[in-house]
Amino acid sequence: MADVAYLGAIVVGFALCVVAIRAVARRVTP
Amino acid sequence: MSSTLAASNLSAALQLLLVVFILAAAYVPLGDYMAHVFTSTRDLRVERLLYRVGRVDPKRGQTWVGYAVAVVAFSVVSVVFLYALQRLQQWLPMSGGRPSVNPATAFNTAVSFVTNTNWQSYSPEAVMGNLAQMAGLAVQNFVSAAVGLAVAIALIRGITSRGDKQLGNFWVDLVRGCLRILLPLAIIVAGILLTQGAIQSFKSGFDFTGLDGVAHRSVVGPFASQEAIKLLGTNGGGTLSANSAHPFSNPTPLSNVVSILAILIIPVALTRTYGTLVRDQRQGLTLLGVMTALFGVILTIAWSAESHASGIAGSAAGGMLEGKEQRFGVAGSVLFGVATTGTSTGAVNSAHDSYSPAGGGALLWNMLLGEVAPGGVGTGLYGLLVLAVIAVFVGGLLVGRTPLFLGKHIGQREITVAVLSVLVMPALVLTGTAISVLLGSTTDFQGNSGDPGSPSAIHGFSEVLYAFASASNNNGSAFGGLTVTSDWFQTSLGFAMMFGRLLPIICTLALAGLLAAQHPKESTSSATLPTHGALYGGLLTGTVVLVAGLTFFPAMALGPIAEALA
Repeated sequence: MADVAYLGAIVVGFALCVVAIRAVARRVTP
Repeated sequence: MSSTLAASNLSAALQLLLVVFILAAAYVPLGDYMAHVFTSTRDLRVERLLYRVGRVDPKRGQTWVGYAVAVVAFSVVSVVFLYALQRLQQWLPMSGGRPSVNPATAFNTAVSFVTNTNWQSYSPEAVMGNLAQMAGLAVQNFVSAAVGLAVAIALIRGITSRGDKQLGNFWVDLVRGCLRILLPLAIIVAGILLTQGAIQSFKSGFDFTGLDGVAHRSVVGPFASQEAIKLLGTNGGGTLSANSAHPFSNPTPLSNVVSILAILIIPVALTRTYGTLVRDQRQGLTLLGVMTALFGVILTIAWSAESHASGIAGSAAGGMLEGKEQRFGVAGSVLFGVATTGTSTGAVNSAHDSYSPAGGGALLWNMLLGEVAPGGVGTGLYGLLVLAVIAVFVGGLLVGRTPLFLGKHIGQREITVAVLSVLVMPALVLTGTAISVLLGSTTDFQGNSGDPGSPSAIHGFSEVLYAFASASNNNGSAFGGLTVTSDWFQTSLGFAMMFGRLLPIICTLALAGLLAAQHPKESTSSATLPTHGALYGGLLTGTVVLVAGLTFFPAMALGPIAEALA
């Protein structure tokens, strides 16, 4: 169970990074 | 002045001179070599093999989005692999009979080593087997450093680009950084450490009878090779709990100087690489001047504080020797401490928690400056370049000149991503510290706590602040006294390391992409602010100090400053 939680945390953390890339790209692309 | 203190200061001066002399000698050849590595059009045979296996087209450039997605994808795969390696340890060979690492520690450690932080919430010799150390942690020591190098080079390409939007190929930069820069240097450093007596063995340990007549078991392992990349990659995660204070890793004063050099040599030489790639050495020398000035100020504060006995233990011993290894003394400890917190290394050869309030505060301050003096491998250079962009914008506003950075216009978009990049770390440090001290359970994990305002409570706050500063800056060193094995600290510090690493990288690559899309304008007219020389160097230094000073002064006042005044 703890493994699922921590692997889930890893996936969510990196998914947020991808969201950040998309958000920055949308706002700064000339 | 006592003869002991005079000898210590002489020792410090000689060590510093030796470090400066060798860094100066290596500056041009290593800096130009790194520039050649990242501009060469030829691939080595082993590199071509790796590209074929990884189905990478080395000639294909990436935009900033492609480059950032590659960094994130590589990081997530690395974290999952490292997590699995630790959780499956008990069933894998070369574990030395050690059980699998618990989930919370495995998560924290996986994120820690992939983000070049190397924060360790475990005792390495007891928890990690040789396979996890060598196939997991040591591999990340190479590749996480190479990721930092790659991002710095991508930013330089953005600055020098003539409008084609390409930042190079992340996979090519990663492979070249590992194979052509880090690996050869690591072999040299490991060889020197071996001559000094560092241990390199695949045995799990040996038995001996101590002076007390009791049988003991001492752990051995491939320490020299791991120590080399631990320092060169500004990683810091050791194979022994005592880290660089352990005689098996750092046996002599000479190996201590070599260790300090290994920490500093790549970040310092990268300013030469930058100057070479932008075809203006004045640019690189100005950044080096800023790094040197900041390093000198922090070293002076820490050295001065640790050279005068204070506190009960210091007064009793006649010097600030608590927590310091006798082989290195105050001088070798302080120089190492400033080098390790000024880069993203986090290796320690002394207990930072035992420093005087001003000495420990200086080390904490060194991290909170954003680790740009001279910073980690790649991270120091791109961190300072982002601040340089902010400085040229602020300077332009102050004197009414066009904010151009090497011919690239710094407009709203550029300054937005630059500021976002700089703000991530303070947000993580201050939010994490604030939540932690508000949690009622945190005091259960503090060796130093007490009534609000008491010296013990103040020092306890400093320890929590240091932990989040270290994690969010991807440093990895720690004040002792705080037990970080609770689920809260394992998880919150894990996320601080993850976001403290990747969000600034994303913003930095976005800045690189914006700069790459521009055609360079004439930057030498009288209407533009020069980005070299003493005036601009002073402006940049002021920007670094003010950004950290304004952001962290209240927190520092509640911790180290209050301690020093108590």
